[in-house]
Amino acid sequence: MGVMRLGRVEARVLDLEKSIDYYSNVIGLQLVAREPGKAYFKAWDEEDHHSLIITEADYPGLEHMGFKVRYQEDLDTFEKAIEQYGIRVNRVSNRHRIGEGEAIRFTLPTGQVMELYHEIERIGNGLKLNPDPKPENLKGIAPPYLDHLLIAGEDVPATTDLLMKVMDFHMSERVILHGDELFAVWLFRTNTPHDIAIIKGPNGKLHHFAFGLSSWEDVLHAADCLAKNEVVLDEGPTRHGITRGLTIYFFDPSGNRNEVFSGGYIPGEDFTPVTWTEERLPRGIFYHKGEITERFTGVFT
Amino acid sequence: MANEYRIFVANKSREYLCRHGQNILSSSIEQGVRVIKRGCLGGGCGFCKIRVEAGQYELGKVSIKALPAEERKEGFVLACKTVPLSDLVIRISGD
Ligand code: FES
Repeated sequence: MGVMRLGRVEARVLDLEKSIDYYSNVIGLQLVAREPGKAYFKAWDEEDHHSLIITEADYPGLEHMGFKVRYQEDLDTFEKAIEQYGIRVNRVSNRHRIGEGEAIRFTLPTGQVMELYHEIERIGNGLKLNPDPKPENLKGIAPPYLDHLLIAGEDVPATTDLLMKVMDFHMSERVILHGDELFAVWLFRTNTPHDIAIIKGPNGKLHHFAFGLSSWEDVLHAADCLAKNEVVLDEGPTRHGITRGLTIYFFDPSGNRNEVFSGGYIPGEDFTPVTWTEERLPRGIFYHKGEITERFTGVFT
Repeated sequence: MANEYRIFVANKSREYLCRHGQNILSSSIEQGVRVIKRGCLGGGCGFCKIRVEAGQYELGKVSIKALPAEERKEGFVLACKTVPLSDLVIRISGD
């Protein structure tokens, strides 16, 4: 019952072909479908048809994010609950995009478009009968799954409230500045420290979306892949104080920030949130360096 | 120097060289000249916005949100997507 996970991210890109090359060969996702102006990808361990859509546009950023719900009926329940909360909900028809069933669509108080859906074609990961641990012929970084995203907006408490009250997200961590300003939150529905995070910043903007990796070794391998392919680095490899995760930040060819993320803890629904305040926030963000960079806090798409 | 253009940063009184075909942000970073802010290097974030005061250049594909058409007309560019076609005089925005 309820929201299962971040199922898909649709990112706008400036140059479709260049971005297809990057997400296929450097990130190492599987290109599963194409249509004019769009390409669909999945990571190797995912079973659904796609988890990343890239769409050609005049400016980069987040077109929409989709969270998958457990049952089709959940759509009706959430539609009512979100409307009752005071936010307008639209229906997205079946096959609006390749492989996708019906969805409900609404705009968060911070300006991003969110969809909830249940139906999506299942491709599978090919590892369900006497499997090896990994498929053959993986390319590039080859993350097993899409992990989370971080969005920005003026009213962090408003989006947090909607996600927690109506969609039953739980809080793993938060940043509180000046004693009472909720500056950033990390929320989860899975058993990872975050499926979505929200930080104070310009409305409607994307800070990054992240792919999951399994170890520090994999993070190092990713760093080597990025360097070999001359990908523009933002920060890392390093550790976050917040979530304890191991990380690298870098930019896709249109300037959308990507992350590879590994580690962190396994929170339950009764997890007591971790709080960070200004004195320790730089270590919360980049644990080793203990410095916040203007680029990391200032670049959004 | 036949295969390089000179980039003069007016409000910093600094000058550096940019190889033909290279963008004026990457070339400054290569030479350790930290005058332009480096963001995504992808024409997407607008972090590297500067103004060209003199000279010819070619501007690649950039975000219309990061660099609206009106600003473009006034000579603003995103340095990471700006390739000089002559010597340039640039001014760092916000200074
Ligand atoms: S550095 Fe992001 S647009 Fe140039």
